[in-house]
Amino acid sequence: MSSTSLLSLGASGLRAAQAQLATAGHNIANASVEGYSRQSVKTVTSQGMFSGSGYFGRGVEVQTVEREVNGFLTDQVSQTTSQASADEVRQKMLSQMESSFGTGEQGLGYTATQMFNAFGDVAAEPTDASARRVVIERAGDLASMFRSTASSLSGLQHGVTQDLKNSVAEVNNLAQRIADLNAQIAGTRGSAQQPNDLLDQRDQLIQDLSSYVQVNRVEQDDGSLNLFVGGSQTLVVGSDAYQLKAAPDAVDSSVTRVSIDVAGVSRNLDSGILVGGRLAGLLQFQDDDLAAARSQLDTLANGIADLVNGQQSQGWTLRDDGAGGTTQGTDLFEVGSRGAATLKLSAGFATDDIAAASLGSPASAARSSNGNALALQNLADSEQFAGATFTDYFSQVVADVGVRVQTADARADVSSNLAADARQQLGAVTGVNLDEEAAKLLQYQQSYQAAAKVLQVAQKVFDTLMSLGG
Amino acid sequence: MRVSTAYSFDSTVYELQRRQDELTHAQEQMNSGKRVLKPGDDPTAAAQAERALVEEARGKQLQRTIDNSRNVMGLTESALGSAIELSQQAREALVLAGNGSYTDSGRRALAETLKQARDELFSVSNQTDAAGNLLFGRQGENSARYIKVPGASPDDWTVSSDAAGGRLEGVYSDAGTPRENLPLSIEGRDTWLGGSTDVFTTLNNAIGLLQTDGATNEQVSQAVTDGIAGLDSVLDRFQSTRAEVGAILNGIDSIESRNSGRILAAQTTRSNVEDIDMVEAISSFTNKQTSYQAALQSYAMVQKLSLFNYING
Repeated sequence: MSSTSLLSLGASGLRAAQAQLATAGHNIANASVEGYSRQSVKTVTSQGMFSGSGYFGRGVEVQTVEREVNGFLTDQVSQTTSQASADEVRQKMLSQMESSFGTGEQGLGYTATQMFNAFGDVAAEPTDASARRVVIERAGDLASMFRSTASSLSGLQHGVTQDLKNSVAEVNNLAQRIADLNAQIAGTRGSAQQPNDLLDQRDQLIQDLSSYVQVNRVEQDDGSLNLFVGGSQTLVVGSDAYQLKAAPDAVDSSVTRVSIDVAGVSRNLDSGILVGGRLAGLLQFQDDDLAAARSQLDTLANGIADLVNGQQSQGWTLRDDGAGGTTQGTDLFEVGSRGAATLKLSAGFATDDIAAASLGSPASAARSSNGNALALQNLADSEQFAGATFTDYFSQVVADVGVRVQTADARADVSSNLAADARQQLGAVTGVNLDEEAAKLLQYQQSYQAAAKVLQVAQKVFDTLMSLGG
Repeated sequence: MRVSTAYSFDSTVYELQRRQDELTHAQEQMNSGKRVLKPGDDPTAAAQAERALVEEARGKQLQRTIDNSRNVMGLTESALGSAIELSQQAREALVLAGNGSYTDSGRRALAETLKQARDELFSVSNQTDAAGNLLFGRQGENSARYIKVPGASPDDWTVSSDAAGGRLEGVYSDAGTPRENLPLSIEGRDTWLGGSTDVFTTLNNAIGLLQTDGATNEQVSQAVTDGIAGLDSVLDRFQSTRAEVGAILNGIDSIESRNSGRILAAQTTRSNVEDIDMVEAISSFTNKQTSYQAALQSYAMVQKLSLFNYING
């Protein structure tokens, strides 16, 4: 045994303690970096040296720096994050949609009732111009409320379209970065060491990607990861990323479709195929919730226009027909092909155009008959809206939106809890605990001090030897 | 179990935000006094409240029709009352005229009384409400319903009307009950012009004879008998129409009490489903406040704990 071997023993201890201190420092520095997995130094005992009196240890070797990793939990976090962000975006959009439909005195049901009631006042005073004026005001209120509700819904659609475009751009960006990392990681394959920080970075990017669209990952032998969306559509293969595209629907240009181009073939990714992620949530909101609300609103708008216009044609107005008589009622509402968004009062409709007298009474009685005004008032009871009256149908619409919001709230609650649980579980394995690092700092500091002491002893031993020569 | 430091920060902050959100929502509910602020808070209640609000608005509209109808029917009732009174005065004058001691000039004076009654009855027949609408037979009428048809002299005229008009009606309906009518006028043609001789013709005939100089006692007594018989049947018609109007007024009362029941029920439903139970709200608010406070305190306490605090030098 030589004193030089004591020196090298001490030196190996110092190196190991230094590496461990450095790694603890790295952990502390990255404690709050998202996606960082704590690292630890793997040390092994150096092979002993054989001598006649047995094997003498040669200290410690730093073998590698490992990161804590748990593929199952990492995957779990990605999947639950996907679901949570799909549910979250849908819930946010739905609660915006909920406020598009005014309720109570700001609601369509109440406003329509005001119009029906105004017809009742005309019935009481068929020639009273002010009662007739009120009908026109109320009908105008109703039409404008329909238009503003429709425009608020198309505002939501516009928001969805923007959001889809931004999300698609972000997905493309993330997919490209993941493909680039795949290339870098595959490039380090030659060495036996794991590129921990690159792996962390890629996991984090995949998690970011998961919040936009749920992906399935398949690990390759060279360390690169292939990613698939919607079950089997390739998004990333090795160092290649394919592009998603958001474009207006071929038939209804107001809605947006997401597709992926693989080898020149474009495949549509709808909310049935994309099961999680912001894209799926937005598509589901667009294709299901918003589409239902728009169609219900249009049913109401077209229905009320048909009903009132139809009844108008059953009566006499106060308008002169030029031959000493009066004319038959004309349309009060005008509705274009875009339903509620285009509902308005017919141009030039004036108080005299309200057909208060029914066609059953003689045209000469137009000024003093109220049969048709009563019929117009009683349209409030007409069950022309999928077997319900206007107000009942509207209250069903309100309840329907409410149920959607409630369900989405509950789902978002559950899935965000699941995602939080998954993150907590992953964090428990891979996250940094500062108390633990503090304890390790103390431990490694002491190892360092002890190893330094070994050096000091070695030097003293050597000095003792040297003094013998003196 | 290990706890990742970054996660424990994140999760406590998330928890604090959630509790704060709950507290804010509870406060909003208390401020507005409403349990259901948005449909999503309680979809069924929101739909019920929506229907109840509309029910209430329709009830209030009906109340206006009820008031209108009652006003008009009240006026009609008192118009018929004056018609009866005028007819009775005319009848009394006729009874007097039957007294054989009257001279020509005495009968002329009585004829004047009858004329006056006839003229007043005519104006009652075309009486309008405050808004200028005819009380008797309005539906299908453009102008005064009863028109003087001139006879031989300016004083001699009969009354006619064009084809019968219907009643102007306000309709009452609600779920479960058949529609009911709240008339805004009554069809008066039978009342005024019905029977073999209408009130105007009856009076005209009597006036004609009473104005005739040198009428014989037989002629006079015949005219008086005819006139009294005619007026009796006229009075019958007025009475029965008046009874009909009285029945309508009673009907209006019962419709009104049903309608106020309907409005009250709608208001109650709305309040039941929408309004907050203050006691419950305050207790739940206090509860949430306490748990938020506890969360804040424990967060501050736990986050102060770190091994680094105990490592010196």
